[in-house]
Amino acid sequence: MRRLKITFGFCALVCILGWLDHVFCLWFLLCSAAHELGHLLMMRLCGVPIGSIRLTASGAVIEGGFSDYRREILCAAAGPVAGLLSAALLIPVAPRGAAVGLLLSIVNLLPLYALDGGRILRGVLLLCCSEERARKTAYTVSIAVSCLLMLLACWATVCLQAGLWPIFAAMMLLWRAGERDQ
Amino acid sequence: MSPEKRTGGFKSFISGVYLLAAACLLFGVCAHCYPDAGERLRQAIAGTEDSPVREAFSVLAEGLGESRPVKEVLSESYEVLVGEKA
Repeated sequence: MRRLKITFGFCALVCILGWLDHVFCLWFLLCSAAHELGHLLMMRLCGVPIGSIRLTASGAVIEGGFSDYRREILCAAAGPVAGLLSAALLIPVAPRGAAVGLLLSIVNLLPLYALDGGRILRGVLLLCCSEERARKTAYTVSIAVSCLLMLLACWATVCLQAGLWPIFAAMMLLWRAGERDQ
Repeated sequence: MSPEKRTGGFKSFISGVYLLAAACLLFGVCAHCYPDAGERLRQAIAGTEDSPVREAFSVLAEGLGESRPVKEVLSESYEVLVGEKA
């Protein structure tokens, strides 16, 4: 059964983003929607049953019943591909939106478990190695990359006067990366 | 879904909307009464207008708008970010 759940954290995030920069917030939501539509479309094409769709402060979570790792890799890759396509379409009409879409897709390809890059990495490892080794490797890579991102966020805040948002974003990614695969 | 569950879900949704509206109202009043504090908070979270991060993003957006190669634009944006290019 498909259900859309919108958490309070997601609403708060949208309100805060809108207050900080409403144009950026709008493009962020549109590009995120294109990204998630890519996932949903590929899941439909692959015949993967779609459970619930949860919009949280740390991103959208689509629960699906994957029967094999190849389908999971395809469905995970579809999001960034859709994001890049939407960015390419936006270039002539809204370069700022295209930049947001491009950056969103690049960030999603990072090898962090909660992000699409992490899911792709985990899927590829599961195809090559044993399950335990694959999950352990993917988890280790996720934690290492998220710690590196936290260091970069601190550098951006202190040296580049970027504000506190990089640290909040890195904390969110670190928290999601720490979630064990269920 | 039973009627009780549907009603309960709707009530939770309305409660959430009220809570969000109250939070927005509180925040809006504080921002209106203390505009300097609101602006300082915005700068603390989002950074300054002329920060290298915002300039790098502007360079990226402008470069994409001029239909230049993505790799070149990303490279230029990175140079602005780390201060190698003014």
